[in-house]
Amino acid sequence: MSAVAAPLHVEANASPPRLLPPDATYGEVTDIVASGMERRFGRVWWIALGVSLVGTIVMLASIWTLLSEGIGVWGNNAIAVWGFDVGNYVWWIGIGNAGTLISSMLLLTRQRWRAAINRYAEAMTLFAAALAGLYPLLHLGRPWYAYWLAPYPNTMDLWPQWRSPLVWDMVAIASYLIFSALFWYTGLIPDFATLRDRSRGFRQVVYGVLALGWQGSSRQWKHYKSFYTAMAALGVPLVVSLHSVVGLDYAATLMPGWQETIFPPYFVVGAMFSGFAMVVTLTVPIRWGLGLQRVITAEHLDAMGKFILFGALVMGLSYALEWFNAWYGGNDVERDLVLFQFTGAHAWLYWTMLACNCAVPQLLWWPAARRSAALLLATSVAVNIGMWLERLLINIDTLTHGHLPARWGFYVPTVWDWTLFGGSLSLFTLLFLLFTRFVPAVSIHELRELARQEGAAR
Amino acid sequence: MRMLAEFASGDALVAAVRALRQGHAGRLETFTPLPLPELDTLVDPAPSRLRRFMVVAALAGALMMLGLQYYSATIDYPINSGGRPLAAWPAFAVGAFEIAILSAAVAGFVALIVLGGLTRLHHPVFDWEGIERASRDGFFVEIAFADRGAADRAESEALARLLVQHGAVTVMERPS
Repeated sequence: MSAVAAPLHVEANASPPRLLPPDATYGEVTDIVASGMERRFGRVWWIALGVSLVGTIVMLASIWTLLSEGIGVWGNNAIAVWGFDVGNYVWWIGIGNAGTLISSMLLLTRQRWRAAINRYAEAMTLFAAALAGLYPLLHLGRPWYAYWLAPYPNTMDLWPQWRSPLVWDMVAIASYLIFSALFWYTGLIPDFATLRDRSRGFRQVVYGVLALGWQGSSRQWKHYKSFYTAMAALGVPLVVSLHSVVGLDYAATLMPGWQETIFPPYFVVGAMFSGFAMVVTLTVPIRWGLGLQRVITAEHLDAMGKFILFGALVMGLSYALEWFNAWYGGNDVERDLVLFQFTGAHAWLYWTMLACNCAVPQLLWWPAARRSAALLLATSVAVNIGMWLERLLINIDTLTHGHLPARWGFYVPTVWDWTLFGGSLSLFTLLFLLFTRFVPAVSIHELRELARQEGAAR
Repeated sequence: MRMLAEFASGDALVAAVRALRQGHAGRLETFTPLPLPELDTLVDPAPSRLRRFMVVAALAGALMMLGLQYYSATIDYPINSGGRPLAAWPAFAVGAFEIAILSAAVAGFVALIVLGGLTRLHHPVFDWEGIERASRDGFFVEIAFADRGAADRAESEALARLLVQHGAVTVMERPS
């Protein structure tokens, strides 16, 4: 007569979600990644390659025009001295920071899902940071004199001005590029050995040289682990310093909207935010194109979605703090700038930015949205656009609405601004397409470690 | 003489190496497709010296960068900007920090190559048949011992038996 009470299950110690198929062997995880890049690439890959190649040629034409005509072909003017060039630089370097930051942070905090995403996140970093470096070089006007920035004994008896954030920036970017390349390549050495051992002929020679004679001996693994972990520990402060310096490029000036102590951390969070969005934007096509659904699972999308949501909250707080400080500081110029951001000539861009960076990611509170590749991709693209607008508006809002009303102006990008920006996106895509063809997009040896940790293989 | 045994799993290899170490076999080295932390101390108990090089390089890089900035800003090219101190240490710290990390990274990479014996594309270990599985799913141990006649013959047979007992899939032997 009494209903039998169902036993109450309390899952206090629910095991973490599995990231690999429960019966995955070392050989299988190796094959999943390696066969993805060894098989024939379909029509989509070739079409994408062709389109990005054309875009890259357009970029070269744009650079040619810039070098032969001068900076005047851009929309920059005597008031808006920084426009697309610096905005795009900050956007790209933000994306360029994220891969190493994500990879290092997740390694140091022992996040197992890192194994599937760190490799292409680092590749993204490398390509984006290299493209970022292109913008300040071109903005010099005469890039062939770029070496004047370096400290070297010269006949002009000149030295760099070490108190300038722009010089710190140069040192930081150059160090960061070399660092990221070493970090990425070191992680690749054991995987190049795997490719060497499964290919024949010319491919074997190329991968063999790249693998540097890796044997997988306990001695090599011991030194490798020691170096790789140390690099991760150094990578986090390096990235934080690099993007803080980018923030200081602005904060060390006297301009309204720039001279704020919040700028360095606000830039670092923005970099992580836009970088994670770019990682997700790349994850969805890579996962589909290389058939990696078994190693890049919904758990990975879920975890990255949480990061984007967290980034959106911190960015929203940072914007709110900027408005609050402008009001609370009582400086008329600062207050006027905030009013201009909301109601001025670029207000529609500012509102779009707030929608993309703060409102749209709120969708990710719902677990189903985080686990849906399509919705997560749409959110990430929105964040990419929003962060791009933020980087652009930081430059043009302040510069066209500074201290002196007589020097309020307007900024309109020209066709050469757009072709350079579109071209840099094309070159990024081109490099990424080639990367997926010739380099394992997922770290194979770390997947094997994951298989052992999860107990799938012993 | 050299002997190579292949195991199908990391656990079997670790157990075999542990047994070999108890029997005080000669020099041995393992080849695995993933790092096995248990082997770190079993094969060679000494920890990696790699990070010492990184620390020294970081300090040297930072000092050199500080020295360069100090020399150029105060001695060789002083600019008096509103009476501010020429030796602007807080500003110099940024560049010194970046160069310190860069130096550590480069030194660590060089140390990895030197200490790990990398860039030897034709190491004798690659002559073993089937060693290419060490980058896929094979777990190998190589044992080197002297060959001085019948006594060592018996020893090598005992060794082979021990390896098979611990689950070796194949055991191979070759003169050095």
